[in-house]
Amino acid sequence: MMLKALFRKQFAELVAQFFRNRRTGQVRTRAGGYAFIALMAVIFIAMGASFYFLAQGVFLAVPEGMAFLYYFVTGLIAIAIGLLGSVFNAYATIYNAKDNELLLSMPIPPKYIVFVRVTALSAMSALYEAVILVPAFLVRVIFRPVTPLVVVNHILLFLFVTLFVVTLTLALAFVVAAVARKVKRKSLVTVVTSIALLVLYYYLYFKAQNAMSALMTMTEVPKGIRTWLFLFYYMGLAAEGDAASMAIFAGATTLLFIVAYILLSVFFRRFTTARRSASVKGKVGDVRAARPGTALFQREMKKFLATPMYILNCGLGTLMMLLAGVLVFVKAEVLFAVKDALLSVFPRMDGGVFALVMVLLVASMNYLTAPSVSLEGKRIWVIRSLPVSTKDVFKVKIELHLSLTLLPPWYRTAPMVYAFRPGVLSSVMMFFAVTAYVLLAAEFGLALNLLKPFLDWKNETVALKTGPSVLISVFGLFLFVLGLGVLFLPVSAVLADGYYILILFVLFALGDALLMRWLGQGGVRRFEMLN
Amino acid sequence: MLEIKNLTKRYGNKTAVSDLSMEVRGGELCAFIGHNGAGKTTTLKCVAGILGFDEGEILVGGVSVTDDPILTKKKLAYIPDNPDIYDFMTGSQYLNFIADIFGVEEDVRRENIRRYASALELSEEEIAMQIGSYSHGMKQKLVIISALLHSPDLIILDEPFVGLDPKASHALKEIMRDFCASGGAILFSTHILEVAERLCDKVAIIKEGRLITCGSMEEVKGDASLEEIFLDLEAE
Repeated sequence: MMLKALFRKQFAELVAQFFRNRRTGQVRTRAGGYAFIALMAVIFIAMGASFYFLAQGVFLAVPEGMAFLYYFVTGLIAIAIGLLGSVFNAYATIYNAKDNELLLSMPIPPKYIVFVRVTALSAMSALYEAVILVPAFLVRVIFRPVTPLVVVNHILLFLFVTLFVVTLTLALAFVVAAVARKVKRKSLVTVVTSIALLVLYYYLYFKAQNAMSALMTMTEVPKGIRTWLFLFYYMGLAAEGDAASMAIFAGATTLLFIVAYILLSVFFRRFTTARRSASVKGKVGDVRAARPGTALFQREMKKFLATPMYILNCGLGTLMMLLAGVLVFVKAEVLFAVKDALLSVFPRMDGGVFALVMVLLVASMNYLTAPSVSLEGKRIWVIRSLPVSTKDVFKVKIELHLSLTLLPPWYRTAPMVYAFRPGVLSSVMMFFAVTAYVLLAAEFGLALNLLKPFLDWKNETVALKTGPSVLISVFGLFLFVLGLGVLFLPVSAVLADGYYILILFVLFALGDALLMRWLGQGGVRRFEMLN
Repeated sequence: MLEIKNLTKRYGNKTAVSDLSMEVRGGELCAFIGHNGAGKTTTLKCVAGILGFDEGEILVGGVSVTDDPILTKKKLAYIPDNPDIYDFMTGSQYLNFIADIFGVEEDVRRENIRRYASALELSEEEIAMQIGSYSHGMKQKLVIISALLHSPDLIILDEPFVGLDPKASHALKEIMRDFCASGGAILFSTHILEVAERLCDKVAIIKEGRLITCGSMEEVKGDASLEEIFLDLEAE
């Protein structure tokens, strides 16, 4: 009875994801809900189709006598994708679920709560696994005759690979929860970890290609696979109909899952009810006066630095520009080749516009002002009740964008000038154009957010990721800059790079002035109507 | 200190406050009561300069909130019903931020923080903590301290006792009394009529956006209790 009620609640939560808008919290219409489900289905089918071709490639590349390699590779891909898709979901739905305290206040044994949550997590994981393992099974059936045992083992493997992914997910989510409990500077840890994972992902992606090549040319199973990766070795053998390997893989996976489940049940209450230990050493006497303008700017900067999602979504361009500046020197020969290819087709160019477009594209990755009004949220009363003018509030929001976005493009422009060696006019005007563009992007994002603010969020991520101002800023500016580059291709026959950049600078500056004027009038009115 | 003249505020077609006029003088502690949705918070937000309004005039210390919002905001302090403040700051950082905006000298802010934090029993360790880890009551205490940092002339409070523990609640009442005794004015909304009756020398009752009575406590309630008068007026 109790479990049934818990499952019903969990199922309602799952269904609500489809029939409720995450951004507004409003219930979708029935048609809207089904349209959303249809969209999800299309996405999953498209992903499944692409994995089918990937699996086909792997299958055809497997050397003679090494049939286990097919499922060894596709199974590992399925595990990796399942982990990526589920680990933060597991943290959010198991350790950080909003109704944990409510459920614990009821006469429900924690192991029941864990059981229902893990079941829901397993269902989601099974969905991710199906996208890879079903196409993998189809490839196996289509390209080589199958015995009944192969079919049975594939079905069992789908279940046990899912169980394995759930076990790993629980373990990783446990680590995330433990870190979240202890760490004081969570935002810094989150940003560093996210960037490290991104770097690791690309490192492994490139390494995996070499590993795949090595695997596909081997003639016997290496000792490393038999010892260190024995579980996956048996997984590969099981997929080819080996009953003993299937039993070993199923047994080991079940054992690991039971251990994880028991640990989770024991620690569940401790983790979910622990108060955050976020205290910072300090004294009331630590007072330091600052001018109001500085205090407002510090507020914006603190907000930015304390919100990992803000940094990762809206400020990653700063890091990318710094890295890109270094790459220009390290990989200068690539740029020279690009420049030569460009000049061979458009001989009247000097490369200045191309270099400018590259700098502006990376600068467009920063859009700090686009969610800045929405981020005030329900706390907007603080700034509205203080004796500061709305123009000053706008000024610091733009200053934050400029302080993080202006220096890196300047720094980036210098090596681009070095690499492309455009004419003097192009080189000089690039700096002016970049400056005017960065200001334009800041004002544009702020204006958009004033036109489409969203203050009634429950989670900042929603304001940062899904607001129309953010989406228009991200794609609009990117397409705008690309359009300026493409437009120059035919124009270059009659207009030199330097003059084109000069025109762009004038247009950007004009846009700056117009937007500034609007912000000072209509923008102020709109902001003062928010509450 | 506070003059509200013919205030009207509409949200689209709905009139939240209609032709409301009242006054709170220096030294007066005025309770603003009315049932949910009567227009209390809207009126208070208009006074604090958070909401614009359609008709009428609001003067703080003789200065119109529409003509010089910055100056009037410097004269007053606003404490909302729901203390949503910056989770990404520590209590200390928040207090410094507010003090910076109001230009409070370092020694004055240090003294005021000590004084009011001690009265409301918010410890140094708690003030040094991240606001994200605060309870509702702790946030409320921090907002009250921040509102008093710049020694305002007028304090606007919206349901200030919600979430406060009994000791802090008592301390806040003392602070409010002392503030008015030294010439300041307070307008605060509350649903706790016993507190209003014991604490205030003036009361204003609002119903469906209209002020139905406003005067000294004695004038309004006579020999009856404030609760009886309020329920009678609401029933009319």
